[in-house]
Amino acid sequence: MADIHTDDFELIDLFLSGTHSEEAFNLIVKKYQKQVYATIRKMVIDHDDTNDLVQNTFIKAWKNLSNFNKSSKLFTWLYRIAVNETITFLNTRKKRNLIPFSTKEYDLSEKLESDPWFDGDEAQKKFQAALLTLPHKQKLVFNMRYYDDMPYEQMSEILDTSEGALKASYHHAAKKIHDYLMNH
Amino acid sequence: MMENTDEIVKKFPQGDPFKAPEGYFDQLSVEISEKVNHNYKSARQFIHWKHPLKLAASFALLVILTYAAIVFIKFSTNNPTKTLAEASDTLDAEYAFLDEKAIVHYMADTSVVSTDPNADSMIEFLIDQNVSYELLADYY
Repeated sequence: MADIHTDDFELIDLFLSGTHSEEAFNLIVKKYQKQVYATIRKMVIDHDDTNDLVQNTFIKAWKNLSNFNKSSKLFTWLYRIAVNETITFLNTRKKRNLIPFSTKEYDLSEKLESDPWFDGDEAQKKFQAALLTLPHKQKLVFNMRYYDDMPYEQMSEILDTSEGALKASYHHAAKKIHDYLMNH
Repeated sequence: MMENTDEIVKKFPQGDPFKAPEGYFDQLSVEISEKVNHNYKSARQFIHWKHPLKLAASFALLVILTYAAIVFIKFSTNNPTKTLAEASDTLDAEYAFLDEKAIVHYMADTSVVSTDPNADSMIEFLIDQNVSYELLADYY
């Protein structure tokens, strides 16, 4: 009987067998839902937006799981879908709002203040406000390395960027956050 | 660069401050499952039937190709291709019925001959072919 600890490839085979597709997919969702949620939430801040994006990520995964290339890890593949969904969402929101970046940053900082599911002290709020000043991709690189402690090799596979460029991006992000914290 | 970066991030607050509402993850897989079932039931049925459908399509293609091959072979047997010699004989037989008079009459038609710069050589050719002088004289 399969459970949440069953090997990913076994779960995929079970999904593709057709007889236990729903059960296998539910196990995949349960196995990775927290990591996918945390990745998206740190990027979009709002829980409801995060919920929509998490659901879209898994629905896309369900639709494309039959084409999944087993040369990469299932989590790497899911992470890539989540990242693409998130960046598309943030770019769409940016275009739709057509508001200056500083105003948007202020709005999201305000949102943090009133967010019932934000469990951070003043230092955390200031740190998150600093993160909001980063461009989307730089923030993503920072989060992957700082929060998830992800190896550069895996980051490179997900973001399709060289390891050297990712190291440089992480360093610049850290410098910018440091400067922000010093000046605010 | 790496040591420098590590030194910088050491000063940053640790831990993930973002939490999900209570019970959220217990319900998430159920919600996703409901959406998948609602929106993609037909797609999933297609996955179930994908392999039998592929087999059926392959068999149908095989039947069509076999039928086409049989029809082609039958057609080829009933209508054999003419050889060059046979075709040549047929043409000679057809030309044998052409009326020499009609050809000369056609040549004499001013609308044709007057625009042809080689009319004289054509008349010479007809003389070489033993077309009677009287007949040519009647028209030229």
